[in-house]
Amino acid sequence: MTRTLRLLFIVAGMTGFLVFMLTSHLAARAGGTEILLPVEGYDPRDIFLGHFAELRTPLNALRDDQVEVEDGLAAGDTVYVRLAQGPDGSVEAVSIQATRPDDGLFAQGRLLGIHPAHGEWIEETDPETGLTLPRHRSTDARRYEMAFNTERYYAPRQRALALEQRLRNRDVLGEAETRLILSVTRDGRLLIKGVEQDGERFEDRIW
Amino acid sequence: MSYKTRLGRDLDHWIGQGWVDAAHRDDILADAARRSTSWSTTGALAILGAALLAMSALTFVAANWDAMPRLIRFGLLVSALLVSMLAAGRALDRGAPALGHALAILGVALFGAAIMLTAQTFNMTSFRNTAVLIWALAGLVTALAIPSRPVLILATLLGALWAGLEIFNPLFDGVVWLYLPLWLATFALASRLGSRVALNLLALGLGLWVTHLVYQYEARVLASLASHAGTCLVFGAVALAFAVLRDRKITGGGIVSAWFAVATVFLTLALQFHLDGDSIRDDAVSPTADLALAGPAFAAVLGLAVWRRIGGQAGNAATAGFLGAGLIVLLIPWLTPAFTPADGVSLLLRVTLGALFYAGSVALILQGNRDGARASGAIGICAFIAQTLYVYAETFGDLLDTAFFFLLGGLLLFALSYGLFRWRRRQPADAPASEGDAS
Repeated sequence: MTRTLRLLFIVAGMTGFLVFMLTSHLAARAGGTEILLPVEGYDPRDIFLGHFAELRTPLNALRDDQVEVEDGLAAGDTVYVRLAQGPDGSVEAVSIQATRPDDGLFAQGRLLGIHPAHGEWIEETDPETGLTLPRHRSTDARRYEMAFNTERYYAPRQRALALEQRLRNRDVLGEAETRLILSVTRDGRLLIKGVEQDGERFEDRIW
Repeated sequence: MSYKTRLGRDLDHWIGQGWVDAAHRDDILADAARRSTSWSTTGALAILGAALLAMSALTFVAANWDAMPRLIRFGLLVSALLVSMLAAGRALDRGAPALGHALAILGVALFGAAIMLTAQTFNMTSFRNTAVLIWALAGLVTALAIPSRPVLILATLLGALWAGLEIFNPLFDGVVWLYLPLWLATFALASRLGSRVALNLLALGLGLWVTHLVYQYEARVLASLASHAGTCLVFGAVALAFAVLRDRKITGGGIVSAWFAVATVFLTLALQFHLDGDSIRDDAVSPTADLALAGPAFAAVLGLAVWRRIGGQAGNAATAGFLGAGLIVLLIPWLTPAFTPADGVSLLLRVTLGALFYAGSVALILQGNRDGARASGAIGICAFIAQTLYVYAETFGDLLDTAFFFLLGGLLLFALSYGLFRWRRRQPADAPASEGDAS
């Protein structure tokens, strides 16, 4: 067998792998349940990797005083977050558990760490002076940091810059939120489909 | 000194000895020059050209990111991959190996770019590390099929990169066992092709993986004296295991053995750092927990050293040296608390361990005088210098102390050199050295 023929077989294998990689991803994305999650942070980065964004959603950090958490979880564990979906497609976390749910909507992730939750600032009136002053109230709650492989999003340059500007304005001016469009597969994997801004969808298409 | 210059001097010596006919001198030099130049210039230029073409392809795709429909991007990458690999095959089949290897490297690089850009285009963010593994495997298969040492070097680097990404991946927990079969397959091919660059890279990759393995089972690793001693023994056992491969004439065994011997020697030197402070008294030794790492590693050192002695690959002195050093390292965590008075670590213990390390370094230097064991000598010299620097740093006081230290050190080195000179004069003439090594 000539070396050209050998390399031809290798290229055929490589191409087959690339096609499989693409079609299996697209099939999983198309077959999943679509959900929407608000984006909390956005940070366009590396010029070598293109305009990707480091995203955070509410699922990335959940507190045990807000959702039900199974005992005995440790950093590095695979976890399942049960989700409750609203009529507009947006979801909220209900519980975190180590065992995979038999039914319902859930997201599969990895527990990165468990930390003390931040307290909150409250307004309190001093009984002696009558002045209302901010006071920090600590909490015994714990914060569960998790990753779902949705923390990085690649976008075309113009859309990336527009997204960045919109999220800055949201912080400063309180403009409408940006939401991540995700597809949830049966085993709980979250696959990014695109983003939604002001109700307008920007979905990643093949063409 | 270049290879050609050295060959010229050697030829003059061999002609003088009557081993080579003087009439063939110029032909031999011309042949050596022709063969070395053909690769060093043509090959290097072609490989650099391939690297630039790969960068060009990546930059072109990045520059037209928005303008190109996604499937066109995908098709473009696959087409470039196909063209470069087919061109590589044609070049190799037509007797242009330098160009063929360069184009094969380009093809493998483009495959990686295709995976990354496809994953990026369609936001397959969970795919990053697995993509590097598949990339490494594709490189390995290509290197095997052609066969190609330059492509193998790329595949080796990619394999190590994947292992590193997985080891430091916060989403992955446990030992990256999959690197072991990948490493073994790459080592087998590197050994078969005689790629010294790939073998050196493999040694470094295995060092990273063994460190990761030890860390997974012994989270404290270098933090405590007992786990540090266990780590020394693990590296020593791996060095001896690859020395056995070298003994069996398996190409690359000596290279891996030498790298692990270097790591073992410097880890052993660093054992003394634990004796610097008061914390050593609080470093309780747990026979069951700490022997879990050090015990099997010492057993492996023992078994391998005895095996090499029985097989005639190591002499009595070398075997006794390995076993003695291994036993001391094994026992240090137990000896140290016993010799530690309430007001600090015993000076006697520190001086004794330092002297033993010096003795081990000198033994390695002497070992380096034997045929085919030059690496041992180099490691011994480096260990001797490092230990001297450590002692200097520990004993540094006023200028008089420093001058006295240098005086002693200088006299010691002169004595060593003279002893070595006398010893070598009593040895028979050297035979040519084989592939290194340290054990």
